[in-house]
Parts: sequence; C-alpha cells; structure tokens
Amino acid sequence: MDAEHDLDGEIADEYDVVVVGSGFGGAVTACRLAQAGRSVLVLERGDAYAPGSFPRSPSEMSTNFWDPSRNLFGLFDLWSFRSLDAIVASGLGGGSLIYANVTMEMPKEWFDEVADQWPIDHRDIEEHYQAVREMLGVRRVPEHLSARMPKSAAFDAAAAAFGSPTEPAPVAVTFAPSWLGPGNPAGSRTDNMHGVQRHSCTLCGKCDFGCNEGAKNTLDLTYLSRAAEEGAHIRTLREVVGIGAVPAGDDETYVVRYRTHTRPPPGGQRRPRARGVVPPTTTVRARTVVMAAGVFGTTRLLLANRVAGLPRLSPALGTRFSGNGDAIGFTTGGTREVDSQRGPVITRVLRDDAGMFLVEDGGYPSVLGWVGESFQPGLYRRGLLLLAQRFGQRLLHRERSDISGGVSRVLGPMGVSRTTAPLLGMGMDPGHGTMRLAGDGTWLDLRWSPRRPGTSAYFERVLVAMRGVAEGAGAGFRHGPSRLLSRGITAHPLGGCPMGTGPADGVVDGYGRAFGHPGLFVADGSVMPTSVGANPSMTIAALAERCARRIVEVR
Amino acid sequence: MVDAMRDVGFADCEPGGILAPDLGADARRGLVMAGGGLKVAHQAGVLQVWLDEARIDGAPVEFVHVDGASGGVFNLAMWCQGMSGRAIADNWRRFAPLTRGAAPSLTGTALFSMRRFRTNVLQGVWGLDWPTIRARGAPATFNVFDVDAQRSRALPPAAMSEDLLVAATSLPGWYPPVVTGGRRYIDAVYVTDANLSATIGAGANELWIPWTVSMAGSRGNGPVSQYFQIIEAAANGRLHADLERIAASNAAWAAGGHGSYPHPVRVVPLVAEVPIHYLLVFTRRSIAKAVEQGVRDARRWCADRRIGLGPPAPPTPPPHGVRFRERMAGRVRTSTSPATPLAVVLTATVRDVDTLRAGDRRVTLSGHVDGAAFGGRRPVETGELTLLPGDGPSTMEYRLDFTDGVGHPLTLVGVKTVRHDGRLDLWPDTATLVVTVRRRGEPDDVTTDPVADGTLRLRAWSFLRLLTTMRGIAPGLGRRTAAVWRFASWFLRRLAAVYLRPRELADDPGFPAGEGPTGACVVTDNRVLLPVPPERAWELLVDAAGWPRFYDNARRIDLGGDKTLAEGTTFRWTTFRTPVRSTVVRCEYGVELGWTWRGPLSRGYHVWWLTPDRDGCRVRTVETQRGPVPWLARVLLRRVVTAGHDRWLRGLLVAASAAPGATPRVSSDPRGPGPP
Ligand SMILES: Cc1cc2nc3c(=O)[nH]c(=O)nc-3n(C[C@H](O)[C@H](O)[C@H](O)COP(=O)(O)OP(=O)(O)OC[C@H]3O[C@@H](n4cnc5c(N)ncnc54)[C@H](O)[C@@H]3O)c2cc1C
Repeated sequence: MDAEHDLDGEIADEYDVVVVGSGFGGAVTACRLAQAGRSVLVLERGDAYAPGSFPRSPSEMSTNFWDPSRNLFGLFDLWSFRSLDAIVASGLGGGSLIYANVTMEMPKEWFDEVADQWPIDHRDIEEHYQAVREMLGVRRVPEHLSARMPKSAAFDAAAAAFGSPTEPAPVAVTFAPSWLGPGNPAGSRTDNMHGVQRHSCTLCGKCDFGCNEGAKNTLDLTYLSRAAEEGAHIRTLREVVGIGAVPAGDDETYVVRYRTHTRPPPGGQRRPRARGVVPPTTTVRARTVVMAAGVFGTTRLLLANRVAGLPRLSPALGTRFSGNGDAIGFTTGGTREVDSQRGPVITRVLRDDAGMFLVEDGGYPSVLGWVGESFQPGLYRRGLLLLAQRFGQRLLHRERSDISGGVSRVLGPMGVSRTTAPLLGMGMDPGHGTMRLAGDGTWLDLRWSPRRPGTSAYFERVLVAMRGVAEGAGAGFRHGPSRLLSRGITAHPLGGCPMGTGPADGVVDGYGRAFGHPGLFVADGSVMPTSVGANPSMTIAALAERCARRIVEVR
Repeated sequence: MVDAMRDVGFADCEPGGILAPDLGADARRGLVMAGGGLKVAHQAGVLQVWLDEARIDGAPVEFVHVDGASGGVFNLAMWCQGMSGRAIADNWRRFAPLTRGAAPSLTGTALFSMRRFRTNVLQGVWGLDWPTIRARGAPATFNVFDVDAQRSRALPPAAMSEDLLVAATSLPGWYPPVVTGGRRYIDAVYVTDANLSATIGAGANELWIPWTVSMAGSRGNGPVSQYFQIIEAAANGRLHADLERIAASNAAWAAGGHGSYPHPVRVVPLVAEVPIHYLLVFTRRSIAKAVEQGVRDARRWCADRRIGLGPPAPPTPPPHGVRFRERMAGRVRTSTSPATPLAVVLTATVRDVDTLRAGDRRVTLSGHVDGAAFGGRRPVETGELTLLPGDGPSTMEYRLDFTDGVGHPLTLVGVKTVRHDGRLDLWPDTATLVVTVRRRGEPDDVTTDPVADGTLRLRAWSFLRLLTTMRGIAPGLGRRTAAVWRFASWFLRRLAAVYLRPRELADDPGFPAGEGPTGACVVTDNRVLLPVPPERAWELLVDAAGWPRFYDNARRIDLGGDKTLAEGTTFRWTTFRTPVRSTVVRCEYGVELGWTWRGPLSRGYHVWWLTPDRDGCRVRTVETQRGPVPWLARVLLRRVVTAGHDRWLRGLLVAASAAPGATPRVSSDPRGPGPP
C-alpha cells in the first residue's frame, strides 16, 4: 500500500456495492467484493483508530462513547434495554477494535442441536473458516508466554479442580516468536491503511480498549486494508440513516442516505447539539447494498426504512435476538495473586459440551467489568443516579435505549481491581428476543428476558460452572449483574435479521440475501437465527465470506 | 494626506464620481433590497415606482438580478412571487404590526416569536406562496446566516422556504434562531445588509439600492438604541467597505487595467432617513406613511435622473380570504403494522373567497404529519386542498408532500367523498378522509402497494375546535368577518346542494351491490406478500376445512359436504367467537374469492384479491360489516378484526412458505440451476 487511505476522500454518485458498517460483516464483504473487481463504498459511522491513537487517560475515557446527539463520537456504544445491557463498538473495524480477540468456530455438535432453525448446514459455514483464519492470523495463545500470564495458570488450576479441561484460546493477535521478547516491530508501515508500524503483543491486557501496539489483527489492519488496496472507498464518520429501493423491472437499485459527522477537535469544547440540529444528509446510489451495521445498527436501520424504503422486508425482521448467553462473574477473596491485567484479555477456554457453554478467563480492566465496578460503594451511588435519570426520561417519554452519553457521565474514570478476576460465560442460550421501534419510531426497543424458561435454565447451568471454577481456585464467587437485577448483559448481541427458509421465518436467505429485495444483503451478526455459543466473530466473518461469494455470483 | 484618502460613499455616485462610471448603452441593472427592519416599508413604496411606473427608453425597468438581506427579503420574496410594485407596497400599507405581527415569546430564548406573524401576515394578508416562489425561479438571492456553519449564505428562490425567510429576519435577541433542515439560521445583518457582490457576480453593472438604514448616527443611550447602533455600524460599515472595493475596481478599470470586479460598476442609491423605528412600530398608520414617503421619494428620484414615469398603477384589491386549522387522526396500514396511528394537523388558507366561489377551488395547506411510522412529527413541505370542485357531488382532495424521518420523500393523498348515497351521511362523508401515502413521484397504480393507507377522521370535538380557528384574512375586522361569512355560506350552500337532493345508490367498484365500504360500519383492509404464485395461495384459501391449521381464529368449520369453496358454497363456522353462515358469491380462480355472511344482528362481506407479483403474489383482504352489533361496537371491531385478519395473513404466509416447492423465487436471480 503506497499511501495512507484517505478516509475523508471523495465519494462518487454511484457504486456497485455500498457496505454499511465496517465490523466483521462489513470488512469481509468489502474486501472480497473489491477483490472481485466491484466498485465498493464502505460507510462507517465511527472514527478510525490507528494503533497508538486509542484514548487511555481517564478524562478521555469518560467521553469515549458514541452518542452524536451529545456530540460524543467515541468507541463504545452502550445500549440499555428493559432487561438487558449491551456493549458494541463504533469505529473503523467495528467490534474488532474492542473485542477480546477470541476467534473460535461454532462447535458442530452445538450447531446440530439447533440445525432445524438454520436454513444451511454447518459445513456451509465451516468451509469458510479457514479463509478467515488466514486473513485474521488466528493462532493459539503461545505456551511460552504462560509464565508471564499468571492468570492462565490460575484459571487452568481452578478448572482442573472443578473437573474440566481447558485449552488455549485461539486469538487473532500477533505474538513475537519465542526467541524475541514481547513488543517487537511486526510487519511494515506499508502493510496497512493507516501507514503505521505495528508491534507484537506486550501482554498489557488492554485489548478491550483498543490495542495501541497494533498487535491485535483488527479488521482495519487486515480485511479493510486489503479492500483499500483493491480500490474500495472506505469513509468514516458517515452514518447511514436511510435506504430506499428503486424498482427496476424485476430487479432493484438502492438510494442510500447518510449523515456526515464532524468530530470536535481534540480538546475542543464538547457541547450537546442544539435541538433539531443534525448534520446534512447526502445520497449515494448502489446496485447492491450490504448491511453490516451490527445487530442493533442493521436491525434499527431496516426497521426504520421498512415503511417507506424497503416495504417488502419480511415480518420476521427484529426477531430471534439473543445475547449469546453472555454471563459475567468475579472470583473474589482468593489467596492466589492472579494479576488479571497481564496477557491478552482472554487466554484460556473451558468448553462444556453437555451444557453447551464456554467459560473463559477475563482480564481487568474489562469492559464488562465496568458494570462490576458499579457494585463498589462510591460508584454505586452514581449508578443510582443513572437509574434515576433513566426513570426520569421514561416519565418524560424521552425514553431511549442508547445511553452511552448518560453512562459516560456517571461512570467517569474507571478503576482497576487487582483483587478480583472476571470470569466470562457464554453458550447456547435459546432466548428469543424481539426488537421493534418504539416511541415516535426512532428508538429501538428489545423484549428479552433472562427469566424465560429455556434461558433461565441455561443461565443456571453456566453460573453453576462459573461458581465451580471460582471455588476450584479457592476463591469466592460473585455473579455479575445478570442475576442481581434480573438483567442480562452482553457483548455478543446476535439476531434481528435472521436467515430462514422463507419470508415467514427469515429476513434473509441462507446467503444473507433479503427476501423481497434482491440487491439487499445482510452480512453481520444479525443474521444468526440462534446463538452461536462460541465467541461469534469468526462465525460472522465466515458467513460474510459466504455472502460475498454469493454476491459475486448473482449481482 | 487625510484629504487624499477621502472616504468613499454615496456622494461618489453623483455624475462624475468614482462610483458613476459611464456604462454607455450596456447597463445591466441589479436591484439590491437592502435591510432596514420595518423601515423597508419605505423601500416598498420605492418599489411601487421603480417596478411599475419608471420607464427607461419608454420601457419598464428590467433587473438582471435582485438581492435581499435582512428586512429586504420580505420585499424580495413578494417580487419573486411575481407581485407588482403596487402589490408589494399595498401589502405594507395593510400591515398592522401590533395586532397581526410579532407576539411576545413566553418560552423561548428571545423576546418575541414570529408565529403569529407567519400565519397572519406571511401566509395571511401578504399571501406568500412558496411553491410558486420556488417554481418561478426569479433571478434572486436571499441572504441568511447559517449558525452551525458560522457563515453567511446567499440562497436562490428554489432553496427558500418560509422558515428560511423568517430566519433571514430573525434578529438575535429579539427573535429565536430558526431551526430548519437540521441547521440553525439567523439574520445575516451583522455580516451583510446588502450583498452587492452577489448582485455584481450575477452580471449586474448598475446597482439600484434603496437604502433606509440611518446614516445619521443615532444618539440614544438606552440598551435598545445601543443595540441598533451596533446594527447601523455593521450595516453601514459593510456597505462602505463594499463601495470602497467597487471604487478601487472602477479606478483600476478607468486606468485601463483589470479591477477586482469583472467590469466597472455604477451605483445608483436612493437614500432616505425614514422616521420610523427598525422594530418598535405599533400602528398601521405609521407604516403606511413610510410607504407613501417611499413613493414620493422615488418619484422625485426618477425626475431628478430624467427617468420617465408611466401612469400610477391602481390599488390592488385587498385580500379577502379565510384560514382555519383542522386535525384529523386515525390508523393506517403500513408494511410493518396493520394499524399504526397517524394524524395530520393542517392550516388551510383560502387566498380569495371570491375566486374560490367562482371555481378555483385550490386551498393552500401547511402543517405537519405525525405518525411513528414516519419518524414522528414531519412538516408538510407543500400542501394543497382541492375543495369541492364542480357543482354536483364532489370530493375534498388533500395532497401533502413531506419527508419521513430517514429522508424518503413521500406524498399523502387524502380524499373525502361528498356524495349523498346513504342516510345521514353528511357528517361521516365530510369527516372521513381516506388516505394513501406513496413515495413521491411514484405512479398510483396497482403494481406497487402504497406506503400506507387507511382512514383518518375528524372527531366531533376537533370540528368544534376547527370552528374556533376560523379567521378572515383581510385588513380590518369588518372585512375579516365578511370573508368568513362569504366562505361559510358558500360551503354550506355547496353541501346543501349535494345532500338535500335525493340519494343516489352507492357504487363501490369490486363489491356486490350494497356490500361495499360506503356506509359500512366496519371496514378492514389487510395485505401480505406471499412467496408463492397466486394459484398456490388460492389452494390454501379455498380449502376452508384447512384454515384452522394456520388460523386459530377459524373454528368449527362446516362445509356441509363440499370439499372446497366454490361459487354458491354455503358454510357455517365460528370466528371472533361468533357463529356465522357464509355464502360464496364471487369466485374467480386465482384472482378473487368473496363471501357474504350473516351472524347475530350483523352481516357483512369478506373478499380476497390475489395479484401476481415479481416475488410471488400479493394478497389483499377486505371485510365490510353492517348491522346493529357492528354499529355499536364499530370502534372496537375495526381494531379487533384488523388484528385478526393480520394474524390470518401471517398464518397464510407461514403455510404458503412451508409448502413443498415453495423455495422463494428471487426475482433477479440469473437463470440456471438454483442454489443447492
Ligand atoms: C468488549 C467486547 C469483547 C468482545 N470479545 C469478543 C471475542 O473475544 N471474540 C468474539 O468472537 N467476539 C467478541 N466480541 C463480539 C464481537 O465484537 C461482535 O460479535 C462482532 O463485532 C459483531 O460483528 P458485526 O459485523 O455484526 O458488527 P460490528 O462489529 O459491531 O460492526 C458494526 C459496525 O457498523 C457501524 N455502524 C452501525 N450503525 C451504522 C450506521 N448507521 N451507519 C454506518 N455504520 C454503522 C458500527 O460503528 C460498527 O463499526 C466482543 C465484543 C465486545 C464489546
């Protein structure tokens, strides 16, 4: 790559393909379609973060949220629904910027249990895993680093005491070879779209806040850089708001409307926008549109455009939401020094095939751990404040589910705890949530409950195992907010535009193509008709590979 | 030294001055409608002479470009609409600032609000008609300051709206900024009170400038006078800077070089000290006096310059219109929901009651459309009501252009059918608006379903409110009352002519006689798109015994020996917990299936229409109900039956999709082997 990609460059009037969002779904499709010679435009609402530019200082962190109405254009997009909180990312590379690097396949045995809810076979996904692995440079956490990461050994010991074997997590991270120390230059300045020198993993444990070394093989450094090389136009701070189908005989073309955000200069004053003031919208035309704005982004966009722009979308839109069975807990008061800050956030995986769930070692500071922090006295009060504020909003009918702005003010700087270590559980939660637009049709509402029969039994199983692991380590166990407030919390939202055999049960077919709109494809986590069980990014990417291949065939 | 750098000013516009170069025969005139708050009433008087009476070489004066800033934009908007000078001046003569103009603002961040001014003056007495202004495309620029971009903008008429016009005169502190199109705008007066460059840039080389901003340098010390001293300083300061630039450019041209403007420019100002305040004027008299002064000043100005004067134009007739607000609400069907709330809140403005009575039945509408399906409250961009055209049975047709929350341009068409075809149908006819919303520009044909359709109603209590909002548009209370009376009497007589005549039988195309939606107590209308050909959907429909498999609201179906439904089949079944007896009366294979039914104290007609579509087939089902029970429970039944039929259609979708060989066809797939 000769020069840095101009993320603010020109945008033509028309493209073969417009890709909405640059997470796993968007990056993969953009790359493959550009490689197939299509003219591609990627519109990403968030900013770009080259390695080294992720905010770290407490004051920066407290505004590192996404809420344009409050002039916040940061990395974390927090959602709070009636009984679920969720974290997603906003930035070039989507979830890969803040994910914990685990890139695992969906276990075949687990798929088979729910195969009747999928229009495709496991091997339709499986055939693409290898390509993803290669592009993302997936490998197991190397054994020679164990000595530097006490938490891995601690987790293994605890799991062994509980009676389950563990394995090293497959991660998309660049590690230095064993004869070199951590933090060595890797690759070259010209192998990525930012034009920066990357370094191998320093085990700093800040994966979930963006990797300033460039050791994480995030999408902007992999798929998107390849897409840019092939001539794709990748543009940031462009938020898509509207998609309208224009019939053309049996086929369709699309008009995509987007807003261009301008980020206040660093250190510049950040004031909420005046009421009614929004950035101007611009339109671009495309023969094919790939929706990859994440579960909430895609579902909300499609719901909002279904009345006037995309009337043929299936009534299944918004259904089959699941949080992938995310559960969080903490070991407390153990004797062993775990120092959960060292090493990639997740290093070991315990897999329980009978219960169909995974338990992984978390690291501090963990994004999910922020919520854990709110149980400490000082922050507890601030949390109450947030609750009160949300209640007030509800009374004023200004209810909103996207609360990043509010949370950033309440949480403020986050602390680091050395006494506890987070445990993460996830698995085949059968919970089927439903999303719809509420209020004046502008905010997203989710009906999902951790107390639904199948779901509560599932959480029962996971929490028993997590407690077992904690006690195996000779520590106490405190479960996360998922039980205390009867609320769930998830970093892995899935579903909303499920694939199905027809418009009665699916929004898209087994390739991600929308029923009723032949040029509209969905390629992100929202197409999952069930939980994935494992960390989902690899499966999302594999399905996006499948979707991209299909687009090349039929469009 | 000081002498050599003499200030350039209007004095240099005298013959021989640096601002009065000889242009020969090539004079391309530009008109600069400078600001000056309410002092622009004087400018209106000047325009009466300049536009209507002035003659150069025996012909009226032509302007290649007209620019307006601050208060001048009012005159500019009227000019852009095609009003004569006399009409513009008469508009000001009829303007009563206190009773019709600015109202104190109790909520906002400013002292006053322009809400009353908009309805009473802009839409009322002055009759600004934005579709006309935008469509005529007069060569003009409006100056307005974009707060969010922090820059002044010169907009062509095609980009203007009432919001932007009000914004262009929203003086900070006195009036709040106007938020429109997602941005905030205010008066541009601190940047420019007369955009000379825009006018020169548009090709003009002779600038006619009626200048009413005081050049005397006012002396007051109070906060209000100081505020306006700032404005005078900004306006005059900018003007002089512009004049200096023109002078320098002219000097360069005179010296044989190139000036900073593309050609020498002559400035011909009409400067007046107008004895009224910029803002604080309270009587119609003082405004009218300023207009007359403008007329006198302009005539003298023309005489001084040996510009001929044609005959003065006769006064324009005063406006004679009415205005009222109405709110209609109801539920519409969209692709997401069988019944989602929708309301329209409209201000209807009849410009002239007499032309309306004479046959031009167009009424301007403004207001908003409010519905969650369209992202909340959306302003109407252009709206028109065609009110009872012709003399016999007729319609009221509403046509509203608006844009939904995500930017799709849409048009709402609503029709009230005024026809005497039922007993006591005057109220239901005039209060029921059948609406369809379509993508703007999309033809109204059968190949695409509308974005939304349904029925809105004017509630009795909204009607009473409507009556209280009825206002005359005319100068003076007497004339206003007369206008309302003339409108109301015409309207009532028009209705009487329809409803006092004998009834004509309703004719609902597509329905058996007496079963159509006209006069029915309950009408429901649901649709769905199925991924199978119509023939397959038909099989599911005529197999009545199989309905319960996908529709739990159909029970105990007794076909009395028949296997499937066919013309004449009678069957008994229970639906909505009611036993009914149905008889198939319409049956066309793969196209239409309709049956009449009778239940306890109720009867009705239920029809299914199938049309082939690129993705399979579209199904629409309509039911009409009549009788005492449907009448009593009509409000409840409309909802319940709509929701029930929606479930029926969803069930049909599931059943159709599950059928063997129902792999959904994707219309644009290439021919050849399908997906594995
Ligand atoms: C803290 C954390 C840790 C995680 N750890 C792991 C892990 O270890 N392993 C794993 O497999 N998964 C992990 N995940 C989950 C993983 O990140 C997501 O499942 C994955 O990113 C989803 O990919 P996606 O393509 O569906 O959407 P996303 O990656 O969320 O991408 C959507 C993109 O679209 C953009 N967008 C949204 N709306 C618009 C719009 N209107 N216009 C333009 N752009 C828009 C967003 O800004 C975003 O960049 C983690 C998530 C979090 C939050």
